[in-house]
Amino acid sequence: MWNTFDRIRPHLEEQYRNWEPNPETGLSPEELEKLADRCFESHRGEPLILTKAAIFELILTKARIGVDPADWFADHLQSGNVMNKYQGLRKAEGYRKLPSDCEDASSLYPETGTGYAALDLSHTSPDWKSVLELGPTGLRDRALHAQKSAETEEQRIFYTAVAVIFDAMRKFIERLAEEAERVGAERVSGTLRAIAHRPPETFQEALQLSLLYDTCQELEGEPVRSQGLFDRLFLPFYRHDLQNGILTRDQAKELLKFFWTKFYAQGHPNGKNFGFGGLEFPGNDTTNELTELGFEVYRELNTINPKLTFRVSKKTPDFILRRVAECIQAGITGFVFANEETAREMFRKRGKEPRDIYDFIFVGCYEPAIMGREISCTMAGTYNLLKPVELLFHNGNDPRTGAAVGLPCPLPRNSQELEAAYFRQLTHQLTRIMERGKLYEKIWPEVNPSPLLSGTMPECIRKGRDISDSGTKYNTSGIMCAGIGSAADALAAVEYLVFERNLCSMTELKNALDNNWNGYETLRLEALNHAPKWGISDPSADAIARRITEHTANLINHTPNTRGGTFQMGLWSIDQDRTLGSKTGATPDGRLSGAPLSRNTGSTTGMDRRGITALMNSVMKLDHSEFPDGSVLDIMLHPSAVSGKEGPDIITSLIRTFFAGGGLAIQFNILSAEDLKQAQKEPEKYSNLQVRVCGWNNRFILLSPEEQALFIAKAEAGE
Amino acid sequence: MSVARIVDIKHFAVHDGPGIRTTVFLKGCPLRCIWCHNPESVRTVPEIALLNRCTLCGRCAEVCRCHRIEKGKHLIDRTSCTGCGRCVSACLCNALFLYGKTFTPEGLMPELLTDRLFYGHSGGGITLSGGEPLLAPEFCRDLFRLLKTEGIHCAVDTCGNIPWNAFETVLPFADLFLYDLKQMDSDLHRQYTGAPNERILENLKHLDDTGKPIEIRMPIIPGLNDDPGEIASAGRFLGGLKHIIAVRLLPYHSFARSKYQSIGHADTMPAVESPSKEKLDHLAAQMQKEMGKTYRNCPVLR
Repeated sequence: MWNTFDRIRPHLEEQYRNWEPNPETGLSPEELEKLADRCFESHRGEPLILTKAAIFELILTKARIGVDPADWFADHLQSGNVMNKYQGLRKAEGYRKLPSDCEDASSLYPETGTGYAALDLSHTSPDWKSVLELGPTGLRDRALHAQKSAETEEQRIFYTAVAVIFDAMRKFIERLAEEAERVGAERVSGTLRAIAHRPPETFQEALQLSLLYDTCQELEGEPVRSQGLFDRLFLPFYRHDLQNGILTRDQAKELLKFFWTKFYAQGHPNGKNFGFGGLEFPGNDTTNELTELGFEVYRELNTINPKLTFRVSKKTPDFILRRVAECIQAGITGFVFANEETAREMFRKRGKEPRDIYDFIFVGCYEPAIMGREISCTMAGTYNLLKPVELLFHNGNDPRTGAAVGLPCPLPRNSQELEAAYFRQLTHQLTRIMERGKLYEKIWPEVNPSPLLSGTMPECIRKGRDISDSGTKYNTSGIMCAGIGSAADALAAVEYLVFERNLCSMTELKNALDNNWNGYETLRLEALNHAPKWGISDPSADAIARRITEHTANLINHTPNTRGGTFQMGLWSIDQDRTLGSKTGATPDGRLSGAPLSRNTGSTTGMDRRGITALMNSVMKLDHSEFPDGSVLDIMLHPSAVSGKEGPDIITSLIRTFFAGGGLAIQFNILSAEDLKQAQKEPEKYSNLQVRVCGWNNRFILLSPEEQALFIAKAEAGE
Repeated sequence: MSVARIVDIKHFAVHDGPGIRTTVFLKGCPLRCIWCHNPESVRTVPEIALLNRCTLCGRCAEVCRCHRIEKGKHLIDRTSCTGCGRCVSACLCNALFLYGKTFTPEGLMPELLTDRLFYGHSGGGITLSGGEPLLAPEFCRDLFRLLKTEGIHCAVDTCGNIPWNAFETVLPFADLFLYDLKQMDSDLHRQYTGAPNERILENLKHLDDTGKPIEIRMPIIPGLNDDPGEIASAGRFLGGLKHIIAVRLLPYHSFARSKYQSIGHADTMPAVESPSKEKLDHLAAQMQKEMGKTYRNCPVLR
């Protein structure tokens, strides 16, 4: 039965694309949709959470399923588009009812590359501890038990929905078990039978349950953005199996390969995030034999999905950090490193209890949240930090569309007025984004109650309240702030060109920008090559970045949301450096109209002219404990800088240095411009060349031509 | 007060001694190796480099008569250049660079200290290289003295072709010597580098006697010093020393060719391929063998 992975890996990687479900196992998507429509009609008038549970049950008990006898795990479900459709309908209905206050934050702001306010259902993680300790029947029974002491009708309804939904999950697992027996899939049938009735006991059972929970939550309509802390959650199961002779270490490795390949095959574009390492109460390091096994498997898989988060503290052993550095050196870069010490300080400032902080994870890419106790909506809003620069030149109007997205203002006459004008526009816009965000939050319970996800959260069960209704202990709302490098460069350039060197007047500079620098090439070169820049450890540019982030953090982190928490500032951009940049006109830093913003906390492309130590020195000057929605630095290294035996030590030194300097998260690319250009010419030879895009990985040859060009420019700048 | 002309300061230097370092390149060299990969550091006088980013805008010509733009070409009168650097400030394309700014040790310190967090976490520090740093021994000593008060690791990268007393000047402060070994046969050494090697080998023995750790660096130049006999002879010599901590074989590469052009020097090196990885592995194994029992654990890096 063992040692089949390498042989059938190609088949496993295509397991969803090539799947033809057996019609005898259930209804076709069309039939399912008809039935669901009827179900929806017959439930009209009752609380949405019950309707949702009913439709969820219908799909899990009636949809076609499949089990592959060659696989160690089962999860195939042809759910069709039913849940999506109802979620879409409810959203559309809810949004129609929204008042018009601050409407521009969700209409004009996206159009003008300013950012947006939204309802973020996408950044969640369940309480994996409850899932694995209780299993579906235990989770159902926990809700039913709590129901006995329910005080209100609303609570009773909540508990009923949770019980229905976990019982539906149990039925789904039983159906898979029957199908497994029918097709002779011995590898999985026993496992499925077991976890349908009791919590998992073995490594395989725990992995299987975790996979099925993930399938169910994705079906419910909230993408799972962290699979929890792998080396903590699964350690008892792994040790149990080794002690009882159920598995060997090699067999456990193979199981994990089958398991992780599920996520690769599902092909979530942003990757599935598994956490590792970190401290546990009362402050000891948790890395263990499963940490090592996990990293070993990841290296052997050489995959772009899942992606791993490694929590690194001063107590993290050097040898295990080196193990990961060796992966990075080999170009397996699907890791983000999280700084335990800065994260603790950051959570502490946000009022989180010290005991809770030990359970933090990165939800999504690098947005910190407490597993099982927090719904962090990390992209409730996004914001382009460069936009206010454009607005202050144009009387508060977006020059490309003419939309009045800012405040009317005269051109600044000196440095003080310049920064005051910048902050005035920024404060105005961010305030509107948050005000609009609050309106979205208020309609959340009517749009998307989440009985499955809520049912895992101990605090939701205690209170009898759904996550959409602030059931969890911590309820926060993140605002992604993009382009800090570009914003600092732009303000520094105005200062340099107009107020310091008198190379032009504000009006002349405005004309240059309005003409996309055409006819102002000399001035543009002054801006590009002589003005101070973020990322070269320049004191004046770094001080501007520090003032921008302090002001913005102060504003965002102290604005209450409507869910009993606050908004939280994030200092990152993911790939919106390009989307936001594409709608932003020419800026004083020499940037041309439509060009990308700086990515995450890094410099504008090509402007980190003094190497990575200078870049890191700039970034370390910011107070990263003030960015509770996360911050991250991308490091691009030429392969020759980390070659040989000393290479991994250089990588670990960079991580340790950045973390000692207060950074929160860091990720790496090991690329040479030459290799990338060659990969464009001969993609077939470079199909395995992976890049860390911005919080997830992809194969270089699959990136768009624009994104490829950006990586080549970044690699060239570093050489 | 001691001063020196600095070619360049390289941050995140990871091949010039242990850890993450900042390498300061001093201008001026007593050798003229035909394969030199730092031609900008050979002469003691300041030199202007013209990089191919030049857009022929002519702003440099406006501030200095040494620059002319003629028939689509940027010409520099290098004999009249005093290294004042006004052209560099005028250039908007970062196409000009001045090699040979004058610094005092105190003047260099702020920049060298910016990366101290990196030195501390990687076991790195400062390396003085060149050119030949020990042509300015007092400057090296004074700079090291300042660095040592900050607890920073100090290394010297030397070609060895200098009076012994220059070593004595820096010995109390240097933690590590990177010592070049280019050719064991003195006649060939003279032919390839312009000087015989007796003093270099003599100094190396002296240095070894002081007990300071030494990393040997051998450039491997195809056709010139990469034959087994040469490696054997170097290995035997090193085997007789006591404080070699590593031998690093540095394969020749042609990256420096554009540098020759940028500073208007004639490129003296015939076209050769870089040595292959297999060749380097082979030479390393032979070196390891020749160095004998004393150095069974001394790594030969490549």
